Amino acid sequence: MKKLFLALTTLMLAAPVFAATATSSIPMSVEIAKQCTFSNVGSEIILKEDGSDTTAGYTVTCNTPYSIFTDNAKWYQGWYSYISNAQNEWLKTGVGTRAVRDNALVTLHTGTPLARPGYSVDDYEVRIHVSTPITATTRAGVYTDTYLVSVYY
Amino acid sequence: MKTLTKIALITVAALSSALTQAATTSASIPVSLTITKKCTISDVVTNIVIPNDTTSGTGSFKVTCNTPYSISTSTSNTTNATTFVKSTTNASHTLNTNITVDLNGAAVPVNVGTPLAKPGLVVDTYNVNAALVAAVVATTPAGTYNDTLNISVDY
Repeated sequence: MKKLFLALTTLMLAAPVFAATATSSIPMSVEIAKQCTFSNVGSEIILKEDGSDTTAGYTVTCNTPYSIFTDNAKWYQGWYSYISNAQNEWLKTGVGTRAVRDNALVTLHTGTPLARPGYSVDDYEVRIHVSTPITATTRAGVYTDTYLVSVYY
Repeated sequence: MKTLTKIALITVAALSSALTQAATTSASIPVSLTITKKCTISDVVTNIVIPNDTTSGTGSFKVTCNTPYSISTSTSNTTNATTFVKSTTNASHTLNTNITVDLNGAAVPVNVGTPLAKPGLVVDTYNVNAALVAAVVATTPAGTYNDTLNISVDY
């Protein structure tokens, strides 16, 4: 009985002497991938015979700086594109895109894409008009083109 | 342990590369213009005076279309091939006429015949000639005789 008591006492005394702390760490991180999205993209731009502007719009939302660039499938030159019919007859169109927030112009087909700071929801407005006068002998029918916009980030 | 470190470094490098890689997002909007079919008849001569002999009185009109069309004419006094002018005071007094309508020699039917088909996209100027089949004689009842040429363009 004496022996057992002594042994227990020894163990209890020894325990505080050998106390230690084991530590470790687990790094935690979140990687947010760069992302840009288009929304509210106009479904169609229907031009007017009288040469007045037709407007359309879209929204770009980016979580990083980006640059934006526009083009037309049937680019002509400068700020002009064209629409054409099944007979390959064409009419010149004037194309302009601006950032609604600060009226900055977005380049068309050539030039440096417009750099934007991002981290925002940016609205853009497109204005297109037929610049070739439509006369009484301009062939009736449907003339088409496609407006293109790209965001680099 | 060394091996693990290498793997960790490679993973970090791969993640870093993925984050800096350029990306592009694109959208497109169809653009269209529809020009409706349209035809106008203009510069229509106000009146054609037919001489008393068999020479022609002349006139003209223009047709402007942005699409192919066909044209025909008719007269108010009859729907038959034999046309005539009619006295304004006595309908039984008539004088047969010879009316021709043409575009650079291509005849446009008057009352009967197949309409003349044209491609449009230009301003077409049509000539009208109207003459009496027989010259007025001393016994022809005096008075005013008339008819109206109606122009029809289908497109």
